[in-house]
Amino acid sequence: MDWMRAMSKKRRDRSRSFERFLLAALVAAAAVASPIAPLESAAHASDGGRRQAVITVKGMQCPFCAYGIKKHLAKVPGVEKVEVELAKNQATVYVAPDANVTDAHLQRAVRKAGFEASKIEWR
Amino acid sequence: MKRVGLVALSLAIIAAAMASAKWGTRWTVPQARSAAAGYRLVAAWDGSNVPAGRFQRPIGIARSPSRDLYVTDARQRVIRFSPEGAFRGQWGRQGEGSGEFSNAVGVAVARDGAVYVSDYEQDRIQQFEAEGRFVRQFGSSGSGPGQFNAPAALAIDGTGFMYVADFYNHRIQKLRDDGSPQMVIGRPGRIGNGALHYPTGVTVTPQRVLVVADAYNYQLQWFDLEGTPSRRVGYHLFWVWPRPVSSSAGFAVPTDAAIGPDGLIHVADSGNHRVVMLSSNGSYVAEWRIADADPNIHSPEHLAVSADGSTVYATDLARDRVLVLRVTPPGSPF
Repeated sequence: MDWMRAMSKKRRDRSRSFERFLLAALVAAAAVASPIAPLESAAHASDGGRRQAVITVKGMQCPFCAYGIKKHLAKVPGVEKVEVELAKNQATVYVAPDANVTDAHLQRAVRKAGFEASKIEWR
Repeated sequence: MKRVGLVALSLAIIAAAMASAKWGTRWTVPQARSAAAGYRLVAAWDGSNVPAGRFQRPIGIARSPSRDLYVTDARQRVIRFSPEGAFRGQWGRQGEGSGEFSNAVGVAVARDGAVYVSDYEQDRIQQFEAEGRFVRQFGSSGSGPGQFNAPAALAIDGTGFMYVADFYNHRIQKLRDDGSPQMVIGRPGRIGNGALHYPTGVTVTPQRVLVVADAYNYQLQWFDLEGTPSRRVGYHLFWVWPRPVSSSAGFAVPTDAAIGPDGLIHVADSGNHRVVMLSSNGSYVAEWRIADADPNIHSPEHLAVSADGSTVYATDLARDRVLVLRVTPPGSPF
């Protein structure tokens, strides 16, 4: 009977290890796939004095939502002007040269509008 | 077996909830509907007769008691047209002063001809005379009484009360004719009667019922003018799955409703790029789809219906135009 218990324990352990592996794999995949990760890494892009950021927002098909994104982005200190292009699912923000606007600020504004920025590209 | 039982029990609860209208009812198709009922596109106004420039992203539209139409667009102006589309005047420009806008969206006309325009970015409502002279303004940014966060649409009842679809506050605000707050209608939420999720349209029926386009709950909701919810129609329970993008039995982001004198309800089912005709009790009657709709932009946005109910005007923001649809009501001869 002891060997049966030992086998069963082994199986449980193996199953737990597999679950842990699966969880770790999922967390790693989420970190890679998450739209936030690359945005944070690009947060210093504005330091170089670039003044335009093109934000891609998936699902921005409804004008009321697009205008909501525009409204929230316009409230970010340092943002001088915002344009939204519904057909391209993009918003373009024009930032004052000396303003410290980061990707995180823009992402937060987009989130407040109920969306996620999938890409922020500084020009 | 336990899991199967749990799934079956959950399905039974959902079915019972739907049957008991706990989460509202989807619309019903009347058995003896008129095959002739529907819409016919008779014109598409592009605003090329407007001296200051054609339409750019028109969104708000309202009919005045004198039958004229007022349209707001992204050039931050209000344009007045005759029912046939003749240019009658315009006002407004970019700015924050009187008669200026950052994003003119909602428009409504009172019985006395006063025109009210909501500014989606400035969170204020401006009142004008019929020809555009500024009268006053009210509202500010916030979530308190009399404050707005993206006022998307306006409606005015026969006694002068105004109803504002307060988009980011997920509510309808009822205001007195001086702009002071009277009450809040609806509450933020996804499930249950009275729950609103990003309302974008509001209208008052001749029977003094408030109909709200509860865009992201995918439904229309009825309230009495004191704010008690009474009925819901459209798509709601499965707002998480599946999305009713091409459904013929539900809405995908219904952004406005307009009611004719005959009680017919016209719905801007923007995510499905169509106008849907419902009977006064919310049963499906007919629909009309935008043939050349831009798949990347929800449209139409807002609607107005002529005083005799024969014509529906729909803003098609995606194509920079106002669509004019002739209505054939149910029961019409073939």
